[in-house]
Amino acid sequence: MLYSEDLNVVYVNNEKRLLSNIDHDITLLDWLRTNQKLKGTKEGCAEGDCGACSVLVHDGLNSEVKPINSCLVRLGQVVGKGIITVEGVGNEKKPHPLQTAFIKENASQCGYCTPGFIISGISLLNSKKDVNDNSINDAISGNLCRCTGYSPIVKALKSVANNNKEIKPKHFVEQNNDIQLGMVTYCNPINLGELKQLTNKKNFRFLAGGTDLNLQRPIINEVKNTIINLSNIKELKEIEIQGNNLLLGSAVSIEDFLEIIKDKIPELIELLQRFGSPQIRNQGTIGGNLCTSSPIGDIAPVLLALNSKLNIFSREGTKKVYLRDFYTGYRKNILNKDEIISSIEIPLPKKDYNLFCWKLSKRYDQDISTISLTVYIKIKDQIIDDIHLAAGGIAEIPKTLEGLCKDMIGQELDKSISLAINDIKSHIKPISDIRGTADYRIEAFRGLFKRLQKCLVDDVNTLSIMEYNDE
Amino acid sequence: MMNKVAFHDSSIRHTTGQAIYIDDIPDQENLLHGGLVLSKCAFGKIKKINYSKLSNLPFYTKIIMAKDIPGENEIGPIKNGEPILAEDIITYYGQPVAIILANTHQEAIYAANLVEVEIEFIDDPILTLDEAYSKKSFLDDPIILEKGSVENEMDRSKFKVSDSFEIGGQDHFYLETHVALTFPGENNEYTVWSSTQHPTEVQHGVGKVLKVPSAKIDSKVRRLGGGFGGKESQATIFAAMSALCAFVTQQPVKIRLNRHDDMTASGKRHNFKIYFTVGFSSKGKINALDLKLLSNGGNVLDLSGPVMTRALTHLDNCYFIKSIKAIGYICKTNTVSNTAFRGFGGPQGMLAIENIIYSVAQFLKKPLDEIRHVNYYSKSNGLTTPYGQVVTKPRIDRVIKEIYEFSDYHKRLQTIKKFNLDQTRNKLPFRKGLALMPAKFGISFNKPSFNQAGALVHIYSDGSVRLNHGGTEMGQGLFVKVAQVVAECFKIPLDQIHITSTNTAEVPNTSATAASSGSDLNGMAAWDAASKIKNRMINHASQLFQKHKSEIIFENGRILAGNKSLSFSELTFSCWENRISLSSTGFYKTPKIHWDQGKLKGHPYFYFTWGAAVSEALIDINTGESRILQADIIQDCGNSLNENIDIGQIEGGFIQGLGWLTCEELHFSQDGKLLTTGPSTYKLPGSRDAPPKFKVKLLENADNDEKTIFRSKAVGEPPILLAISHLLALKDAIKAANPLSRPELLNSPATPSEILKVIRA
Repeated sequence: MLYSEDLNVVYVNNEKRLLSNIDHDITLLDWLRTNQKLKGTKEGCAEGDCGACSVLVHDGLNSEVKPINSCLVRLGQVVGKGIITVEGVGNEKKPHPLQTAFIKENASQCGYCTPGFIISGISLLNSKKDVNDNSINDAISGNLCRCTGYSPIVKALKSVANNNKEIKPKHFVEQNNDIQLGMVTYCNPINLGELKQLTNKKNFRFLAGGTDLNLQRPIINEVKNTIINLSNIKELKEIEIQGNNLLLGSAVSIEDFLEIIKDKIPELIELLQRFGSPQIRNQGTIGGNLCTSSPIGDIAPVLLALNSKLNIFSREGTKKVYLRDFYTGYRKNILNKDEIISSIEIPLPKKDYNLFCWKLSKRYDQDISTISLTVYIKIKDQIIDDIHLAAGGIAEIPKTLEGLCKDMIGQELDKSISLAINDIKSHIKPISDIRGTADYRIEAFRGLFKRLQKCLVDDVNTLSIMEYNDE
Repeated sequence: MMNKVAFHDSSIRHTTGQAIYIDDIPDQENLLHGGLVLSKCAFGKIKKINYSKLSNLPFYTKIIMAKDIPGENEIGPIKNGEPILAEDIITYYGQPVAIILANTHQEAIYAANLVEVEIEFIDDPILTLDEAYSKKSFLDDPIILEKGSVENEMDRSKFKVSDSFEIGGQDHFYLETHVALTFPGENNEYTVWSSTQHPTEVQHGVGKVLKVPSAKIDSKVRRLGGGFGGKESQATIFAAMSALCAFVTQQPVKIRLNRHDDMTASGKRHNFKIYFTVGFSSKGKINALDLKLLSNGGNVLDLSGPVMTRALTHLDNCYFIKSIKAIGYICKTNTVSNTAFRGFGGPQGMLAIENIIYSVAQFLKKPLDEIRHVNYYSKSNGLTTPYGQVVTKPRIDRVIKEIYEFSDYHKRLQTIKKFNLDQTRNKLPFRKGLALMPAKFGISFNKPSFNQAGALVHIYSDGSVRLNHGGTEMGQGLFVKVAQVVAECFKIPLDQIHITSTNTAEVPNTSATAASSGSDLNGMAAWDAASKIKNRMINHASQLFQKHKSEIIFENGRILAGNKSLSFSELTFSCWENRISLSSTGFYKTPKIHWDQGKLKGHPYFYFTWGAAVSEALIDINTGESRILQADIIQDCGNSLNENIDIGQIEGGFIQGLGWLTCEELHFSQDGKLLTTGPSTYKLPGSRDAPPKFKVKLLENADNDEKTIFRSKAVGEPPILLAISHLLALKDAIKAANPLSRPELLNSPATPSEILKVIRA
C-alpha cells in the first residue's frame, strides 16, 4: 500500500524527519546535504570508494549502528531507519573524544575526508572489537585520505580505544512504508508473502543492497518504475546450519556473512575482509553479489568450489539450482524477471579437505580482484583424491576449472601442480583490462599455483604479503 | 616562538563537519547548477551540438555554449589557445563542449548527458609520447639544459649506458572535486568562490571571459578540500564557466564536478618518457649525461613549460654532473592537458637521475650508495649546478649521516641479505629490498616575478587581530603558520588572531599557493604588515609611558615599559583613541633570485631543502604484489615554524609519492577515453599501504642559511621525492628475486603486473 510522502520518516541524529519535497529518486547523501542541510557528510566520489559520505545507519533502540556509504544508498531504502551523521557525533562546543583525538594527533589536513573517518572510527569504537592496528585498518579500509598518509588517523583512533563514548540510537524506528520518490515507487515487503503480491506488477526491478545497481540506475527518471526492496524481507535474512550445509538467506549482508564464517569457514576470513569496505559489506548482500554476475565475483569462486546450491524463489514456488549453472554470460544469469535467489546452501568444508581462497588486486583493501582462485582439495598419501578449482577474472563469468580438476585427480600432488602450472594457458582465457594484462593474469595464476605447491607439498603456510610481519 | 605547538586552525571544524567548503555554502533560492557536456571523441571537428532532448524534460534547463562568451574563450595561464569550452575542434576525449544549467545538481548532470555532440573525423588522435615525438607534435619549442661538452666527455668516458624508461602520470584525487560558485552583483560585479590555489588567476580568467576589469571581480576561497597543484591553473576553467553562466543568467551559478568529470576533464601529473646515454668512469663518476625527456603536455600547454623547466633543473638532484645536454620536449597529445602536481616536474627529473645512477651501479656491479658517493656535490667534485646556481652549503653529508643512524641502515642491509638468502634457499616467495635516497629541492618559483606576496592585517580597538594574505589553505596548515608569525610579532596568544578567507579584494595580485612557497612568501608579507603596525604601537607606547622606544617590550600579550605595562588590547584601544592607524598592508619579494629562461641559467632558487629516506620493500615473486614495510625520513625544514604541521606534510607527501610510483595507474582506451575515472578503478594508497614502521625526523639545528621567516624552510613538495626510495627498494628486491633481471627497466607505477614482468624478463 502506498502512503503519501509525508507519512514517511527517517530519523536523523535521533530526530524524526519527514520525507517531503523530494522530486527524484535521490541518494541518502543528497537528501542529507540538500534537504536536511547537514553539510558535514561529503561527496567525494559517489561510487562508494572514498568514504567521505559515510554515515551510521541503525534500526532503532538497542540496535547496532553500522557505517554505510550514503552516496550508494537511495533515500527510498532507508525509510523508517535511523541515520547518524557526523553532526550527531559531536560539535564544536561538545566534541566526541575521537574528534578531540583527531585534533591532537593532527589527523586532519584539508579536512574533507575527516567526517567520514570519524564515522568509521566511531563504528569501530562502538563495536566490541579490540582496537589495534589491524582492526583500525579494517575499519577505515573504505575511507581515503589524500593528505595525511593515514598514520595520525590511526594514532588518533588508538588513543581513544579506552576512552569511548558510545553513540547510541535513542528511539524506536517505525516500520517501512511504500514511498514514491519522483517517478520511482519503493515497495518494502517484509516477508515473502508480501513479495508475491508485488511481483505481478509490470514494471519493477528488485533491489538488494544496491551497492552495484545504484551505480547503474539513474537518479532522474523520465518514466515511472517500481523498485522492490528485498533487504527487509525476514525470510531472506535467515541463517541456519542444516547438517553439513550453511544455509544463508540472500539478503544477509556481506558483513554478517563475514561474522558467521569466522567460526565456520575461517579460510574465508581474509578474502571477505578484503571484500569492499565495512560500508559496502554492511549494505551489500550475498544474494546481490551473486546476481550482479560480475566476472570477478569475489564470493562466487569460493561458493563455486564448494559446490553451492541456490534456492530460487518466484510466485510459482522455489527451485534449486547449482551455482555453477547460474551464470550464462558477462553479467548475465538464469533468473527471470520475477525470480530472486532466496537462499544459498553452502556445503561446509570437510575436515579432510584443504580450502584456499586467494585474491590478487592492485591494492590490498577495497579493490576489485584482478584474479582470484579458490582451491578445495583432498589429498591422500600425496595423491590428489579430489579437487575443485574455481576462479574469477579469467573469463567472462566466474567459473570452475573442471578440465583442470579432471587432469589433476588421481595424480601425484607435486607433479600434478607442476603440470598445471605449465598447462595453465589451455584452461584460462583472461582479457587485458585496467586491472591487469592477460599476460599478467596468466603469470599470476601460475604464481598462485606455485603458492599452492608450497602450501601443500612443503606444508609451508605461505602468507600474503600483507600478513607478513617482521616480528 | 611562543606559539610553536599549534594545531591546524580548522581542525575542530574538520572533525565535526562544521568547516564550510564551497559546496557547503547555503544555496540561494535562485541558485542554478551547471553540468558539463563532455566530448565523446579525442579529436574531431564539431558539426553540431544537438540538445533537442532537453526540451522534453519535465524540469528547467538551459544550455550555455562558447558562443555565449562575451569576452575571450581563453584562460591559458602562459600561452593563448586554451578555451574553456571547445568551439570548433575537439582535442581530447572528455573536453567540455557546453554547460547545462538546471535547478539541481542531479538534474544538470542528467540533462548534460542527453546532449549529443556530432563530430566530423579529422584524423586519428595522438595518444602516446613516442607517437607525438615521431610526428613532431609539440606544444612549444624544446627546452634545453646544457653544460660543458657532452660529446667530448662522452668520448672520454670509459663506459657508456643507454636506455629508456617511462614514468607514469598521476591524478591529484583531492577529496573535494573542482567547484566554483559565482554571485552576480550590480554594475557588472561578480563574486567568485572557487576551490582554487590561485584566486588571482581565477580573477584574471573570469575577467577575460566576461570582458570585465579585475576591479569588479572578487575571487575568494576559505579552504580547499585538497589541491596538490591540481587547482593551480585548472580551477580557473571551472570558475570561469560558473562566472559565464552567472553572466548569462544573472543568477548565482554553481558548478561542481562529479568525480568522473573531474578526473576526465582536469589535468594531472605529466607522464614522462626518458631516453638517456650516460658516460662514466670505472668508479661510477658521471662525466656526461645525454638526455631526451618527453613529457605529455596533453592538448594545450597550460603549465607544461615550467614543469619541464623544473624537471630539467632537478635532474642533478644531489650530484655534480660534469657535462650534460638534456632536451625537454613537451608533447602535444589528444589527452587532457596535464598540469601542476606537487613537485611540479621535480619528481620526474629526480626519478630520472636516480634511475640513471641505478643503471650505472648495475653496470659496474657496485652498490648504489657507492656510485652516489662519488658523484655528490662537494668542494672536490664541484658545487655548480648545470643551470649555473652554486650549491653553497650542501647538507647532503648531514642528512646521509643522520639517515644511516636513524634507519639503522647498514645493519638492516645485512638482515635483508640474510632474509633473501633464506627465502631463496627454502624456495619461498618473498624478497626484500632496501634503498636509501637523498633529495635536494629548489625553493622559489622559477619565474622570479611570481615570488612576491601581500598581506593585510587589521587590529580592532578591542585588541583582536584580523589576518588576511594571498595564500590559500588547502590543508597544508599555511593559515595557522602565518597566524603564528603574526602572533609572534605581537607576542600575543594565537587565538587572538582571526584567520580569514583568501580574497583578491583584500590582497591583490597574489601568486599561486604553489611551489612550496606559501609560508615563505605569505609569512614574510604578514610579518611586514604586522611589524608596521607594531612600530606605530611602539611609538605610541613610548609617548604614553615616557620611555625610549627601545624600552618598549611586547611580551605574553602585554606591552611593558620599565615597571609599567598595558595589555595588548588596552594599548590598541589607546592607539585608536589617539588616532593611530591599526591597519597595514605588508609586502615581500624573494631576494637574490634571477633566471634566464632562454638559456636556462641563473639563480632561480632562493635556497635548497635537503632530505633523505630509507625504504624497505617486500615483494611476492609469484604474484608481483608488493608493499612497503618501513620508511625512515630525515627532512630539512630549517627552523620549523610548526613541527607537527611539517611532519604531517612529510608523511602525507611521502604516501602520495608512493601512490604515484606503485598503485596509481591511469588507463586510456584506444580511442583516448580515460577509463580510470573514480577510486573504484584508480587506486590511491589506503591506510594499509602506509609503512607499518614509519619514522620522520626533522633535521635538527638546521636554521636556513638564507633570511627566511624565522629561518624556516619550505616543506610542501620535497617529501614526495623521497618516495622514490621505495621504487629503488623494489628494484633491489626484484634483483634479489632474479639476479638476471634488469630492474633498471622497471617503469612506474610499479604495479604487480609491472613487477612480475621485470622479474620474469
